[in-house]
Amino acid sequence: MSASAALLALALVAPRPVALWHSYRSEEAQALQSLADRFNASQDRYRLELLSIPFDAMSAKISAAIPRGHGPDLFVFAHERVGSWAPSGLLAPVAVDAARFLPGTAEAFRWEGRQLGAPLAFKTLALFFNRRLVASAPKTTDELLALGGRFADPAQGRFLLAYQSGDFYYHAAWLFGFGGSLFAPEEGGSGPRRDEAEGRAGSEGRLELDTPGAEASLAFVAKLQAEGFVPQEATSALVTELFSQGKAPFAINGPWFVGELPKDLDYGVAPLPVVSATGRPARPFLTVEGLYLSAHALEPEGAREALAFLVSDDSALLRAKVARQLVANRAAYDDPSVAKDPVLQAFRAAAALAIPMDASPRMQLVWEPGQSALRAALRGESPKVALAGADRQLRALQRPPPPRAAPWATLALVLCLAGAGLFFARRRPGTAEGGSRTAYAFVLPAALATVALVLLPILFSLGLAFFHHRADGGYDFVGLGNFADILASRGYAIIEPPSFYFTLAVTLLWTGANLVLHVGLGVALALLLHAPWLRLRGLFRVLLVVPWAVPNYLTALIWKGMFHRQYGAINGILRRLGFPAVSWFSHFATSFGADVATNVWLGFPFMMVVTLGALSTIPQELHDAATLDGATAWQRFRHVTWPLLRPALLPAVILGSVWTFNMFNIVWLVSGGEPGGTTDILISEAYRWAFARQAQYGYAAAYAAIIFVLLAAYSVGAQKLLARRESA
Amino acid sequence: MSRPSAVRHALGHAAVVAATGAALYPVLWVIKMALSPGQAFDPSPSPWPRVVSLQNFRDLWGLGGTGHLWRELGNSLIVAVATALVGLLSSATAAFAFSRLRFRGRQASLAFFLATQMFPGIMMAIPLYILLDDLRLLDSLTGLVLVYSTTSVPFCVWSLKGYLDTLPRELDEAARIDGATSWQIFWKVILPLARPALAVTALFAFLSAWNEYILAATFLGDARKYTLPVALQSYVGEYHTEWGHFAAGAIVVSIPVMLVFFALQKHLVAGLTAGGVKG
Amino acid sequence: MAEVELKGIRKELGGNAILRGIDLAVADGELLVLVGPSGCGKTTLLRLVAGLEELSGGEIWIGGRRVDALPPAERDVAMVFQSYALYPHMTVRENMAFGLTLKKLPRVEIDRRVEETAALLELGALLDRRPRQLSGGQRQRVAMGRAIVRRPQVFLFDEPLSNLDAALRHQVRLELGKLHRQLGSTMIYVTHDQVEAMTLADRMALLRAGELMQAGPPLELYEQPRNRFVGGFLGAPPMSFLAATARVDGAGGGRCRAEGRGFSLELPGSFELHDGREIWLGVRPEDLALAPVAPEGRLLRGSVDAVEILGWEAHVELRVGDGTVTARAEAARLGALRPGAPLSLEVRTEGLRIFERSAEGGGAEPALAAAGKGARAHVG
Ligand SMILES: Nc1ncnc2c1ncn2[C@@H]1O[C@H](COP(=O)(O)OP(=O)(O)OP(=O)(O)O)[C@@H](O)[C@H]1O
Ligand SMILES: [Mg+2]
Repeated sequence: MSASAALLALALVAPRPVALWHSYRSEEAQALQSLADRFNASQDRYRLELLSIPFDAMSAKISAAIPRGHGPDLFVFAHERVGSWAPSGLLAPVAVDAARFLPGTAEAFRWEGRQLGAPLAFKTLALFFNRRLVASAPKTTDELLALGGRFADPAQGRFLLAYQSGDFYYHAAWLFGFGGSLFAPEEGGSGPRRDEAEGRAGSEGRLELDTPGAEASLAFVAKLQAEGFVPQEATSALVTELFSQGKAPFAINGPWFVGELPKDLDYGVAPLPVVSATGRPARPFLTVEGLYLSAHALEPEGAREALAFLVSDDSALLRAKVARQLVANRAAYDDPSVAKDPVLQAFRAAAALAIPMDASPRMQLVWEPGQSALRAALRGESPKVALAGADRQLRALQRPPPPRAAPWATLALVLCLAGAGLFFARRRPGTAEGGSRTAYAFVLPAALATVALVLLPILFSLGLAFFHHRADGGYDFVGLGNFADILASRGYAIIEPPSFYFTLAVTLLWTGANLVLHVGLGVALALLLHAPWLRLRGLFRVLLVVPWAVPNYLTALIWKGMFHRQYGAINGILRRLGFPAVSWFSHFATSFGADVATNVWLGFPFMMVVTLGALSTIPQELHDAATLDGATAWQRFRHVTWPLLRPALLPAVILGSVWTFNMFNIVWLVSGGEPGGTTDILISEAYRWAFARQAQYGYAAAYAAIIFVLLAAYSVGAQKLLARRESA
Repeated sequence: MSRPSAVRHALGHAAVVAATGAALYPVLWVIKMALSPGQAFDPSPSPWPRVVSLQNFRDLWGLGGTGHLWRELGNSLIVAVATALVGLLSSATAAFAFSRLRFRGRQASLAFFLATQMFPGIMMAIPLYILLDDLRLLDSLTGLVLVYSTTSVPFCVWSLKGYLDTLPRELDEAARIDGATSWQIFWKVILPLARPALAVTALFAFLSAWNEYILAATFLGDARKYTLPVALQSYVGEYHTEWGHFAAGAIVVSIPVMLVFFALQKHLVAGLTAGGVKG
Repeated sequence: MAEVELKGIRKELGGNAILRGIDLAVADGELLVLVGPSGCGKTTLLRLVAGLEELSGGEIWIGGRRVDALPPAERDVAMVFQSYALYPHMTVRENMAFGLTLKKLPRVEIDRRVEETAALLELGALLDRRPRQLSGGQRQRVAMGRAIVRRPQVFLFDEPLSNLDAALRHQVRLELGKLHRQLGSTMIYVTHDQVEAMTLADRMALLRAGELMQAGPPLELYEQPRNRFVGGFLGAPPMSFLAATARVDGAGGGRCRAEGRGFSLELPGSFELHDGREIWLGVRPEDLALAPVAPEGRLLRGSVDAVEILGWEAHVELRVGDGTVTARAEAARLGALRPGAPLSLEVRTEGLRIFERSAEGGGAEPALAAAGKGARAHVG
């Protein structure tokens, strides 16, 4: 009795949990944790519980969990998603005193008049300079370029300025500095708009890349690269390397750069220089990280309290001190210790010039065309042509929603098809010799699980293909509209990269090339590893599965690094052999080859292991017999081993080709579709539509459905082949 | 041993060594990053670390105050081993039925298993989330095991069936005449002979669970349930990735895989069915 | 009581008729030897009896019970496979004990039976080996042992001795015969070895392309082949055939002659053929003798095609007209007989068999009448 009473009392006084999800790492995570500890110590009604979630998974998890009531009460994310999440009703309004924060940071979370988040910190770009090489940062681009002769010597791996010149996020600073814009009326450049004369003036907030300012900015960076002032194909790793090794006196980077630089490096930070051609400062994007309150929070009161605590000036100060975070609170910068920090102060100054990133979903459409225009210009294409292409792509990506359709027509069609399917299935002569209860019992566990956990989700996704996902999160039934758009290649020429047919051709090539190499290499190695005379067989076997064992996220990026034009190991080997270095990602063939090489490396161990398993069925006598028949090693393989391997290998080959067809992350990580989206495969298109282009889930699902049908047709053929083998 | 075969053996060894070199070369960077102090993704062409430090591993082990490596390793092992077992058991029975029994819907179910592999997996995270939620299996390792093993079942079924088809049919006929039931034939005759295929399939199922993080990160809402890849992927931030920790973690993740494979590879032996039937 | 009765057995595989209506009865405790050329359906028939295949038509009865819907395990049969089908992962002992273990017999009983059977088949020293460590003949004995140890009602043997050496085959054959008498179980035994067939069989059945040609005691098949195929199948060397035309001498009181190219033989009186009937003349080697001189109606003249010397005896192929006959002779008496040399043989015409000769016979033309050795004529 008393025990339960005590328990009850405990339950009454036990603090109620408030869940907070974040993707912070190291110092930032530590700062957040110590704030949570403080909050929990400061009161006893709520207990703030932190959950760290990988950044990759965060956005999908939020979208899935919150509507189902499993979401957090609070979560940390950048402000750009407000425009996607708010219409879906995931966010609840919070009270924020905008005056306490740096200009633009609190406003970033306003959506349709409601404050849907509170700012924690911001990210933007600034100019880092190495004090050992230069005394101060140049104020203008002319000043900067004047130093070029002194520092740049690409042959020696020395540059003037290290930054990711091929990344549109970085380039946007120049774009705005040269008077370019993304949205036609608001950020209108100087000088008359060309397209106004053509009668297609931008309507309210229309996306437009092809502006004179953009053209000038592309010409500028193309020149930077042509003169050897900036490294080619710069990755963030390369930028870090060059700047910290003193091989580039300047770098453009964000606050995270500080954590990547050696502690003993003597460097300064300044806002980006003024573009001499226009007299305007280069203006980077401003992204604000903030706390969101879930609309389905279980503890909204506690969450509000915790939120207020976490964005308070005191908390901000702790975050600024412990994690050197660029906090959004004005007051933090007046604190003596923060005032002393030149990095924080420089970024604060940079933030004043920065342009808050548009939070509406349409912003997501900018990256792809922007990026491809930038890369094209860096490959030496004329900026004008590149931008015209980008605008064409932009318009295609802003696909108008297909007309709404009456569900009945489509439903009737689907029913007819299903009926026809059933009819033919019925009419086929029964292969079975009567049902066997045992057989069903054997198949049941696998079939049941697969139906529940694979088929249902598939049907769910396939269903989406008949809908259009509106920007406000709703769905319109559009019948076969999505399919029609894809198959009619609406918006693109058929032979252009993003068109379905072009991508399909690339995908087939990709699948075929990988398959041949996987099987060839896998079987060859398995045969060697199977040979009785091989020494250290066990060791080799284990070492050869290493590529399969190491997480491929990391190894794919290492391969990308190995294909780097200047620093990659592959070009290093080529150079040593006397060949010229290859710019791998500038041409379709080489870029595609890099993807294939990476995927073959990742995939051959699987085929090898499967072959090793299959080889164990082949009796030695057969080899002996063939040897006596005078067969050479090749003939023995061709006429004895291979035919016997085939049945056991065929399933792996069929499934392997299906997986390769859908193997999107390698293409994504290695070539990223370069050049100009040509190396993208169908599944990357689907992925882009779903996750990078305004969340067109319906369209993406239609892509997936088409992929499904294509592969199903393929497998029917493959199965016929198998069945023929079986009966033979 | 005659001369030509000696030459051939030397060539064979050379080829295996070369292939192993090529297979391991990119991994040198992983080791380099893991052993270098700091968190940089070192793009330099040399695969050797400039300075060797075990700091990244120490951090990983929680000595740096961040990780719960043992717990995550344990969760991963539980999930991967359970996935391999569940996947293997359910698919072995199915593969046996497909290979040995004739029943209505056999071809159709085989095609169905294959078809499930054709739908791009990335499109399935959200529906799966809803499903697991309805099954009350979110936030649980059981749910993960269920998802992983079902997604690996189609391959397991097909690959095992392909292997079982090569086992002589007389063996199960002999057992049937000896009075064995289908289950006894499966358990006592076929399964012991399918060891190589079981090993391959087990490795596959194990790996499909072992390296997966996107679904795990989406489904798990409790840090105590996190698997190793989820923890590892947390080192990859939006702007900044702790490559040193990530690489060290990648090595820690890979070692059990190699141990598992080492243990399994002794089943990949030739001649398991030798002597069973004539010819 | 375990007689096996097959009624109108039909089997189709992949659209081919493999067995086309077999009616056959094997009495309880009888050993039926099934013979026939390769591919005629012997194995298929055994598999049907065992229950490994489903019938396309007909009925199977074992011990008065209709079994064709029963699974193999409930038919109480054991089968020795042509390809052994030993369990590769089990030792010889485990292989033999498998069926008994499944029946949940007591351990000691299993051990006893296995040891006994192993001793019978001289497998005692091999009990702990695995199949791959055995020679072909040893494997075959294990396969036999696995069947014997179970003591089923019906044994099905599919060429169980084909891999044994002559001596061992002889010995196991004798043992098998003994075993058969001891166990008194019904056995169906497939073999290609005629000696085996003749010595073991209580009755013999000859299949050809899925059809039963003849069934009966071995000697009956040998001596009264129901058709040309049966005659030509049995015997080593087998019966030879010469195309001929029947001639009835009206003057000679109804005596029959068979005339063909290069010969004219007198037929024994028991044949009643009308003049001009096209016939095949079947001649067994043992009814031919080397004879420089013989009555005209019993003489075959021709030229030597080939001579095979097998030790004491030799086989001589003689070309007569456009046919050949094979004769048996003492090797020593042949001297230096070269191919091409002329040779005469005396025919014991009482042994001649006569078959219908027609275009559609396809090798299995029915016997017209039988003669000699006290046989009654019966027409096929
Ligand atoms: N699965 C099958 N599909 C089609 N035809 C088959 C199949 N199995 C066997 N046959 C055919 O059936 C016929 C009978 O085969 P069976 O194995 O019974 O012959 P057999 O008399 O045992 O021959 P042997 O003496 O060579 O062992 C053969 O012509 C064979 O080609
Ligand atoms: Mg046979």
